Amino acid sequence: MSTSPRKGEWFSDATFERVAAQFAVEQVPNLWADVRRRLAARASARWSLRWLLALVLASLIVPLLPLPSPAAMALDKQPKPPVAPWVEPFNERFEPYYGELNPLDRALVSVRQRAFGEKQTGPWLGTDAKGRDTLARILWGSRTSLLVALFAALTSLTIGVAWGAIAGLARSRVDNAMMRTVDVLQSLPTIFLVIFLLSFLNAPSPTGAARSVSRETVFFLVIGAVSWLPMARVVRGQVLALRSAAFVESARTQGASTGWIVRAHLVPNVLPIVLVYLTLTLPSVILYEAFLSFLGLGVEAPNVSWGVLAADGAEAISPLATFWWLPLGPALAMGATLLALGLLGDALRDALDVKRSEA
Amino acid sequence: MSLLEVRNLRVSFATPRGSVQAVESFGVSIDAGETIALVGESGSGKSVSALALARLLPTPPARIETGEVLFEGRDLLLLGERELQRVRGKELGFVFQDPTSSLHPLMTIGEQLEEALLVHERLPRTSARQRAEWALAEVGIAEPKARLTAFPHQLSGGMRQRVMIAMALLTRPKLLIADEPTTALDVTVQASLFALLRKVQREHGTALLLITHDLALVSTFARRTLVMYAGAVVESGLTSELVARPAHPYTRALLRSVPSLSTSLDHALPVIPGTPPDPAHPALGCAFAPRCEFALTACHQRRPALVALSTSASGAAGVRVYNRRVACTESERALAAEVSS
Amino acid sequence: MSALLAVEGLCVRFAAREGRMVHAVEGVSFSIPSGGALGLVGESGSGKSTTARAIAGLQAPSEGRVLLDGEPFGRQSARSARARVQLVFQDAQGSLDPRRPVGWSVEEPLALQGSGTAKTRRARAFAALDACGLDPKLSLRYPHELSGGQRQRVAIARALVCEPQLVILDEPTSALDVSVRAQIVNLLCDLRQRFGLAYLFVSHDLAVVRRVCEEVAVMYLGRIVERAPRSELFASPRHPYTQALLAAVPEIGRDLALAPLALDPASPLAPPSGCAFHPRCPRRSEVPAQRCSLELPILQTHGDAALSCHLAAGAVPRAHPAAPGSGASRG
Repeated sequence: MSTSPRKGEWFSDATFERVAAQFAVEQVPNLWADVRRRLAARASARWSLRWLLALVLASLIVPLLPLPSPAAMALDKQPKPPVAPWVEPFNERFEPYYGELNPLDRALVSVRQRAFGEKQTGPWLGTDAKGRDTLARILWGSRTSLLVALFAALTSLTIGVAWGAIAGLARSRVDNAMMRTVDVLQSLPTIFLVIFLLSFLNAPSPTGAARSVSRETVFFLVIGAVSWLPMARVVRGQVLALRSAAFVESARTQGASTGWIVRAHLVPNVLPIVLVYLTLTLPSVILYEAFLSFLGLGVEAPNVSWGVLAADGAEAISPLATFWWLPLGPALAMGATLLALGLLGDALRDALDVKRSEA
Repeated sequence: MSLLEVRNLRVSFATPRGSVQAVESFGVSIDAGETIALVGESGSGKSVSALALARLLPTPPARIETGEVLFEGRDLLLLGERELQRVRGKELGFVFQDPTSSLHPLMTIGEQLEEALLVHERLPRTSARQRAEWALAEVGIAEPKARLTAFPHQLSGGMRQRVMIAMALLTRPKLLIADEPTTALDVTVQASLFALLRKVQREHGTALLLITHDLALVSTFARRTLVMYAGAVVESGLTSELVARPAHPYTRALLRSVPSLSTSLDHALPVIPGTPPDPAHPALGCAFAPRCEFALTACHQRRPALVALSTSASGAAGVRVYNRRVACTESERALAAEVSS
Repeated sequence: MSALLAVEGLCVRFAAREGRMVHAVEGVSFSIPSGGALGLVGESGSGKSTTARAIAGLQAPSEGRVLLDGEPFGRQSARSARARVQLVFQDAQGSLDPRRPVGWSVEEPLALQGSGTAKTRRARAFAALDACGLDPKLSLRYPHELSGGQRQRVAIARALVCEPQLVILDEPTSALDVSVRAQIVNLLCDLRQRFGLAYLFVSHDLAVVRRVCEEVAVMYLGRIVERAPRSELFASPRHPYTQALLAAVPEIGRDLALAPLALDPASPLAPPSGCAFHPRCPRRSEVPAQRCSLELPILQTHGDAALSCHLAAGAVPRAHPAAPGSGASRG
């Protein structure tokens, strides 16, 4: 038998020089660069991202835009149909009535007043029965939907992912306790919970001071309690499967710590699924908000949301007159947003699947 | 007339990156009661061919481009869905590699066995149960009556495969197609299942198409063998001749590279270099040429056809002529030389 | 002679349903000298893989101990000790992280050791891939982009990169195509020669074990029933189970269907009494007084070989153990 090479010299640097000389070290593939490239290659993903980014931007700077105030009423007693932008691009009837605003928005509104003065867009999407501009209300209302989505995304990503990961990594007893908690929360009938909480918290106190808790707070509490549950389940399932995967076991035989396993193996393998799942959670939360608001359990006047607008629009439909523009605007805005999220999730799933990438 | 005659079967799969030719040309003829082995590595198209001839491939993505599958004279590829169901249910039996996924996990063995009889033979329930019990006894399952009420997960892997064989044989099919029936099982169980297959074949005169990756396994079991590589049959003939005097370089190399209990340990195992070809990137010439030690320039340029070897090369004359066929440029050349001389 | 790896009385038991215990591994002892190769063969449920996993530290033994160079080896061992034992799995696809280029996976053991700089780690990973017959360019590919044989080569390179003394191979060739299997078998033989590795080779494929290992231990339902040098075991197997196993190996021109065992293997959940093999044993009638079904045979050592069978205990008088050193060639 030939003498074996000495320890530490099986694969010497000399071998490396020889091997490295055979080819130039190419760029090490970067998963995220690949994902960006593949996303960009897909038209539906590009348009979805553009729509979502435009919507986020618009909702952020909506006080700056030369729009009518969403709360300013005109006593027309009759919804006005849309007027095409080229017929009446702008008018000078701006009324700075916004109801309560936070300081930042107030500042933005004053900037808007200085920049545009009395100028505001015409009723491009019509007005409602109280003369409020539909376009302005849709854009202001998008803030509610996006805020709900953002809140749900944050709870999913923090509580949901952490809860699932810990349950998946923990011993069976801890895992059991954590997942039964999820089961219990999941089994809560959320609609009744919202109604119950609202009536309970808003019951007039003996001193006569009502409205101790706003509807928005209740609403966010409930969303926060339930929106992370599916994510926790998904993450736990993934972590459980990965924990016994041969490559994780193989690292363990080398003395890899749990920290290493999480950083080196779990995060890269779980993150894509988390992202894709997020694009499934967000539409459902946006819809849920709209649904509750439609029932009158969500945001309340003078705040607006797409659900409130849809409810107003539905009310406005009568046998005598169909004010079609009232439900159509918010419905289109919400439909486009949900579609964009769905398409984006689809594209993300494909882009993150390394097996689908071309070699 | 042979029981099954398959001619020029071509199967492709639609993939996101275009159509992939899974089977390029497949043909076989099986006589009643005969055992034929279909040998090849994964991706050689052996399973796809067998599934395609019974029209068991989902279409799409699969597409049978050309071919004839004459079963007792009827072309299965032209049959209507109802007739096809009848042929598949009664005349053909199937045994697959993984019995776990072929058995319904929530139905007892008895219910699953009876179902076939109730559907295809329209037997009354009591006699169906009787037949199911006989079928289990026949495949060597002890206490068949008790086993009828067992669920698949309560049986061992070998036992489940016996149940699959019993199920395949229930309607007394004329042809049994077994796709790697023992690959997932231990060697001792494999041996007893082969003994079982031989016994039922002898008793019922069932023809058997046995699909496997292991030439040694079928060397004494199958009368004839077809060797597939990259979607095409590269060699066929009587098994005894094929293993004794392999004509195609692939068959030859395959036989040598299998570790056996009798080869000398003084030398390293002869290997076939490289890996089987990717069906998505088919070669222009002979698919085996890149790995073939005898490859000539011509091999890379033109695909050799499956041609009959002359009788002198294919063994003793007077035996019923099951032509030794081989698809190799080298053989074509030898053959041409023989004819011209 | 001090062994590199010594396994003493290893037991692994799992809790099964209904409060039953599965004795997956019962009292397994063997040793592997430095540079030696032991094949552990048996059917599914024989406990051979569980034994390998217990030695690698993936499964806590219920009893017994594992010694590496005389030192206890297990989950608590330092990383430097763990690096001396490496594991190669059957499923190369599963043993490589699907979201990491394979080069990263080869480097991972080095990174865990904290040895060298990023550049020297890469250098050694490249060289290890090269030694396993792979173009180091492939280190940039993802596992799914490689063929089964290439993935198994990567897994072997990953095991070698830390310069181990012992490699535990769990069915390393079972998932491979016939034409690729021979390549990997030859590679394993070459690497052992080149680096003086010791192997614990777990496989159900006796022909492959015969190629790679000088010594073979046969397991049945958690116990070693026969252990012998390669030359003895394959030429003259003594345990009826070994004989049945060898007779069932598919060989060109051998009729497999001729001598099947009467029954399928028993479940490890309900092992038979006495000798676990007795219900299937074709030769139990040669032992008088139902001894096989009543009494558990003990593993008796005869020189290089060991056997646990009542048949042999009767045939070989205890006072005269077989002559030692019969044809065992190590190295």
